[in-house]
Amino acid sequence: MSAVALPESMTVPTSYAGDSDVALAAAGDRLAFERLYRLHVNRVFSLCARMVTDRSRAEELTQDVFVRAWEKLHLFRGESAFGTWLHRMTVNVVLNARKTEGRNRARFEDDEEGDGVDSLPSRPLAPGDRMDLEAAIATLPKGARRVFTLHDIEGYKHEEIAEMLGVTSGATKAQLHRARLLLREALNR
Amino acid sequence: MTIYMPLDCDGFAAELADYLEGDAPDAVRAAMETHAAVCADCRQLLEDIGTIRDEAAALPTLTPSRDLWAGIADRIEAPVIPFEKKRSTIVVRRTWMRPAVAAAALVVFTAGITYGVTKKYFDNPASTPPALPGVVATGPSRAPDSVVPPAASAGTSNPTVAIAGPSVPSAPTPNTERRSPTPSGESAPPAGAYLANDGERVIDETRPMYDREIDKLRQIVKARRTQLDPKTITVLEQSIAVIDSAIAQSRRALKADPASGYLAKELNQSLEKKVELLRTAAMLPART
Repeated sequence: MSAVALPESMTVPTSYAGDSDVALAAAGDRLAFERLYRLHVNRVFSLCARMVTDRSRAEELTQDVFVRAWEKLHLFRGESAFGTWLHRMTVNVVLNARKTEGRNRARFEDDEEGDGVDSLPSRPLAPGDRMDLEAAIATLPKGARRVFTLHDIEGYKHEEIAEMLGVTSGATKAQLHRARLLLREALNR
Repeated sequence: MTIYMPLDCDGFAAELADYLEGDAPDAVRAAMETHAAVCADCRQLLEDIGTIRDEAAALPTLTPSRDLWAGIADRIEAPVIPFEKKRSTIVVRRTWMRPAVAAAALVVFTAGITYGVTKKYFDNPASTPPALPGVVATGPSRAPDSVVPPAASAGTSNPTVAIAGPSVPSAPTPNTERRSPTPSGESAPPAGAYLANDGERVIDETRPMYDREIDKLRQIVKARRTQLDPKTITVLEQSIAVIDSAIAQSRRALKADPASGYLAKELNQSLEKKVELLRTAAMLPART
């Protein structure tokens, strides 16, 4: 089976109203940057929310992403779509935030990334329960949830995810498979 | 890894990840599809995972519960002020300078009045102290050594204390006369020193001057006790006791936190009140 095609939500039109705004914002036009924010905020927030599962934290991270984007906009060369650049930045911001804020806490949480050991979902379901996919994703262990979100929802390739997470692509494939099996179980399918 | 053909369910599960990722060899791929065609459970597993994958790709975007732009705008619009630390230091110094200069000016003013009262009283102890003298400021900075005693205007009912700054030419005029050292015989620092140093030092240096003024006024009031009404003396002493308590509290607090501008200002205000009260008492008319 070939790799999953880029989902529609991930594709960024090559010509959209934000093109000129990117140039304006890079020149310091805050109004143009606000228009870019309006255009991309939901996608950025969605990624943050699914990666961290805490909506208020996801909102903070979304703000961090746009502040960082404003600071780094002069480095955007237009080699990719602005949305792609922003999306990659979102992943980096989320991952870095989790690294810095959770060093101590991570020792006691389900940070099993890369160890190949299955762990229970953070919120186990009672037998017979059903839930929608969004809720089921939130129950996944952190490592599996990240890979599932980046691969099956956001459409990144294993090589890209492996690079972002600093693991091998074999590890991301294993995490993805585990995530899918856990989701199937959670969804009682 | 050895693959046994045809696949059973365990073999199917073991190869499923590679199959889904497109990494399985063609022979394995064909074997899995053959097994799925005859095994309902494994077929269901394959279908379920395909469904999950498809649903995941079609998940809608989420929306924040609030507009996040305001928080972003606040952060990106925060002005960058170069050398902020240095600028804030200057502001602090200027903030300190205002009460400091005011305190210095007040001490000089008070010293002039005290000098006038003292001289008048000790020249003629039986007389009633003069009314509150007027003040003429002739320069931007003042110091006790530039106070002109009211002797120059003796004989008038409203003697004038002229205060001249050091930068102002001190040529004697009918109403001005430089005296040095101060009336108490102590040489006070030149007026310019108050403006040349920072605020904390100016405030610190004014306190001994307040104390000297208070001592002098106390002597006058003490000497005049017999001339004043006992009830007035009682009220006066009660008021002074309240002010002394405030002064003592301020001094203790300032000792614990010497850098506090607020406490320094409070102490100076209390000292100022005491000077005013004593001066008023020193100038009260004698009991008839």
